[in-house]
Amino acid sequence: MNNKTITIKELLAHPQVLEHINKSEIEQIHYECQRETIQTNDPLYIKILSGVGAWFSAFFLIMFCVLADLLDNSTNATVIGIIFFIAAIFIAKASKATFLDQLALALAIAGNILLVFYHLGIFYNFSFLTPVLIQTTVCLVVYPLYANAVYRYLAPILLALLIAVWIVEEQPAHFIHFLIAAETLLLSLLTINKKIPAKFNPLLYSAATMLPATLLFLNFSQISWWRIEFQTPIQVSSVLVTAFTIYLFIHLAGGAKHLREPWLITAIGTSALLGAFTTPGIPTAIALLVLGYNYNDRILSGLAYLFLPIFLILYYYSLNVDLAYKSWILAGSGLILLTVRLLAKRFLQPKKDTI
Amino acid sequence: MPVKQQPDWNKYANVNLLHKLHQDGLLNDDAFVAAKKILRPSSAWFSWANQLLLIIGVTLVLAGVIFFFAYNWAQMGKFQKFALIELSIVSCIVASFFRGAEQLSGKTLILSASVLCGVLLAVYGQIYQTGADSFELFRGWAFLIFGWVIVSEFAALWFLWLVIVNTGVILFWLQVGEPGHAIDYEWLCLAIGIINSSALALWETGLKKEFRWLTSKWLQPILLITILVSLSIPCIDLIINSYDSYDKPSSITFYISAIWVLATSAGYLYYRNNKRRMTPIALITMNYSVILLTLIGKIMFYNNHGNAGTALLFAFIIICVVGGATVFLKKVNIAMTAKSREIDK
Repeated sequence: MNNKTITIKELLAHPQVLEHINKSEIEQIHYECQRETIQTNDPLYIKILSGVGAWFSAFFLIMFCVLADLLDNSTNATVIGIIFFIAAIFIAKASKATFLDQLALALAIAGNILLVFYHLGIFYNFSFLTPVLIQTTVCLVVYPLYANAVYRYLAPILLALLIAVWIVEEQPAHFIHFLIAAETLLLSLLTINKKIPAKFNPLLYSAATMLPATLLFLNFSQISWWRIEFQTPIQVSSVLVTAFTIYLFIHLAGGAKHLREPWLITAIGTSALLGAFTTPGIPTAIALLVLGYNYNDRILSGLAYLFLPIFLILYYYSLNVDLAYKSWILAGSGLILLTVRLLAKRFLQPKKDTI
Repeated sequence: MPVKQQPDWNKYANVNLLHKLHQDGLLNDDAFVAAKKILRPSSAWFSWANQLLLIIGVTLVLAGVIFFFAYNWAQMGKFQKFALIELSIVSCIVASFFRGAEQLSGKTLILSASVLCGVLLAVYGQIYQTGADSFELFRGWAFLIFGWVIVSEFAALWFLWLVIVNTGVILFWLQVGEPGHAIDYEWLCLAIGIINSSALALWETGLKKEFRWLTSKWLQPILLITILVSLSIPCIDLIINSYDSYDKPSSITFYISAIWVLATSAGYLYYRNNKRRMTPIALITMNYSVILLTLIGKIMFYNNHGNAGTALLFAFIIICVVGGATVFLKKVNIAMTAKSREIDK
């Protein structure tokens, strides 16, 4: 299951690789390895620590502004928000020192909150569309200028959240499918494209968080204890995410030429069945699981392992049948999966590869 | 600032490094696909999917069984219920014996039998309603499956057992300790801390003895987080209530705070000098940051609630503490990587 134990040198010297790579490219990789130019990003724990710390310091920065009566009108709040953003971008560009980096992140988060939430009094006819438009502008302007992975991850999530609130409050419920379509498209663009620049990695994680979170919201809105009137057929989103999952499988298999492979037919068939009969969150979580394994990416796998049980529980919880019948469905679906595994082992098992 | 890590030419290749080389334009598309196929061949995908199907399939079946008995079938006699569950337990154990306890499917069967033991006890409680507290179910369950936990060599079953034990202890406190304030909550925190510290110590010993089934890394951070959270709650309580003349912390709170200091310091030294593992060090550092900020916040905001200057100063203190922790972690990471390379050479 794990990566094979082979060194970089041996891998590049392997005949199957060697036919696609010339000597100068190998030398270049060797040279870059020696030069230590290949840098890995900050580990996840540092990002979490830095994000949580910046969030709390942003809270106290805003508290300072409130207590010092700097936010007594919304124009002041907007101006301070913009100043915070400019300061964050300037500090981040001027220095890479950790303390200043942390200060810049706190300023960016505080600036974002002030811009989106404190300006609202300006408008007589308040609309939830306004914060959506502001956050969209902030994302488009700040994302390329402020190279901080934590901010780049959080800002698009806030945008998706604001859009969801806008749809719930002011738009017909079926608009939520447009949001899901946009998130699916973003996720597919960022994962299927082979050479997306590294600066879009936080956006990829945002999309991978936003999509299941929106689907979860859609699921919650359909069950009886949801108090807001928000009913829309879930099947539209099912079709969208199932299509994405199937396309992902075909893409990872190496293209449409592999469509006759029995295992790919099984994978596509299973996705289609899951999409048709369960909640759209389940094929999405499976797609994230596959992506996580493909990229050996702990964050994507972690998100999948987080959302898959939630969607499974929610799906079985929301089944409109009694507990006894539900138990048969649960055990039955488990037995189907175990049978598929047994059959796959007997008929589809590939030969052991040798390096 | 990103941490520089040298991908040694003679070190093992992995998918992440391939993606990085490809993303940086050092590896062309065709070579990337070919290299990835070597590192991640179809057989690896197949075995991954196989494991996933097994885990999800078994989970669903077990959930179905639990729901089935939760329905409390009136038509079904009590002996039929017991016979059905006991037969399932025996079938799982016999099948596991024939399948081989070293196989994942064999281990999963032992795990299923362990879950079914809990179902058996729940059905017993359903049929003979003695009015016993539910912590007794968890106590009995943990006791009954302990033998299988030992022989299974399966990290997931150990985890399940720990969940059962922790739940049992929490329920004991809720049902026996808390009503009438018979036992302070600090004792619960201490018990949780001791149970999970013992499990962590066993896990580390197992790793030292090179038990292959303990090599998966997910259990260690879960145990460590549980220990740190359980020991930190009394510390935070001590900080917040130490000024309060009405709700003074009890002496056990002081002792647990002292234990927290000792445990985190020992943990840090062990993982820094002995094991050279970053995740536990990062968790301990984060924990220190939280306690330190709580202490500073309490001192600053005590009798000083509405002061704008205090809020601004505290915002900068948070930045300094978190920034300091980040710099510290980066330095430790670099030092430990260098040390590991030195030892490898």
